[in-house]
Amino acid sequence: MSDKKIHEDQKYIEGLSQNNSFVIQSIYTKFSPKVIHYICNNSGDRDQAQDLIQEVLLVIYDQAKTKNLKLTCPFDAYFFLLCKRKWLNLLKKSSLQEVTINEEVVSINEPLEALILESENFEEKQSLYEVMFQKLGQACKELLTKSFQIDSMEEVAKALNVTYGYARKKKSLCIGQLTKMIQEAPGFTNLKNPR
Amino acid sequence: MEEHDYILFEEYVSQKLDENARIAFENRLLKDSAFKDSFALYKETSTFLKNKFANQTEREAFKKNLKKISQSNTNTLKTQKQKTIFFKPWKIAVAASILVVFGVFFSQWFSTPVYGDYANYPEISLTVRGNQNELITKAEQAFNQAKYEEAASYFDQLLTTDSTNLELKLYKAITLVELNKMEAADVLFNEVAASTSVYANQALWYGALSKLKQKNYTASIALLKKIPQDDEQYKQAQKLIKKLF
Repeated sequence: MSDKKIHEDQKYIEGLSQNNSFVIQSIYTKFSPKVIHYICNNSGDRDQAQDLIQEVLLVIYDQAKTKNLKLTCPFDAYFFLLCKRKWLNLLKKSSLQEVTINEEVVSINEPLEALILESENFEEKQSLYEVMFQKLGQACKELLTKSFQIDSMEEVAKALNVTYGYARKKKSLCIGQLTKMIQEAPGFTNLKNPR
Repeated sequence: MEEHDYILFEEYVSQKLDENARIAFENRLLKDSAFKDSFALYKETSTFLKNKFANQTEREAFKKNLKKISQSNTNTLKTQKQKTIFFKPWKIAVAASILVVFGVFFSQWFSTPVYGDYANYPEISLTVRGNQNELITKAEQAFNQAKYEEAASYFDQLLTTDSTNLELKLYKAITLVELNKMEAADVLFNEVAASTSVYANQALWYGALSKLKQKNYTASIALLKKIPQDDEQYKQAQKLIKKLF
């Protein structure tokens, strides 16, 4: 990724990552009408389109924050294709009565396809991690929450009324347990080696 | 992996291993692929948890802002739609004729655009940096409620500890225009516009509006012309240039 040319539309990614209202507003003005039009033409309505747009922007935000997302293609095509594929997946999952898909032609090139797959893979991983985190025991959940909310492990130990050594050891074991659950989850291998 | 492997992962990540243990760890990463894969997942899981908990406030603020902008976007679209429904074609024809007649007679009086036509700011939500949460919230609220005297004072306080923050400078400049402190505002707009940040083109646009308020139309046009074609303000900027000529 690092050797590829960053597209000038990277400004939208930076703006989202900085929660810049002007940039978010311009994304809505410039790019959301096409998505809304597509969803309304394919068995959806405006409210569903708005919800989906918010979900996709949140995925991009998370990816920018944790994976340093770099855009190598125009934002317009990237954003539209992410929304479109997410909508089609939702339709498939909800197995709505027969749906007619009115295709909007988007030319897909290699960088765009790679970015889309990366974002979709990222989103699937995030939801798998979240599901697995919720399955952890209460003690682990509490310790991990505090460990990442509070900078110093001494403070974490104090807050939980345990020794510093125990808090540190337990933190690594809880993360370890979580990674094990993720590794053993059905579908993890596909996520590790995306299509 | 065994329990002691996870303890080792954490020690390595938090740089608690001594030199020899660190080298042994890195050698094992090179030779043992299962160990390497598990460590990679351990780090990725930690990043996920960090984003979930350490950046929780920031992420919630983003979600809130997104919801607000989405809602206002929906309302705008609904209003536009309602307007289309209420106006029958013959009404539009009548309204258009009246507008044309009035337009011809009064274009000379009303043709010059004014600052107030364009000064619509979206609600701001500032990026949280360090321990300034309370002050940032106050600044946001003051700005969003158009209490510009208060907002200016909060921006000043924030800038004393974060003097290179271009986002704050842009919003402070807009605030100063509202307070008619045009010279100070223009200095800030110039600084932000000259940067390579995401705020540069916004600074050009609002800088041009500042010049419009000062009735310095030539300077306003010069700034508007600098807004690049691919920017979201480009079309609006071009329209304003045409009106100002």
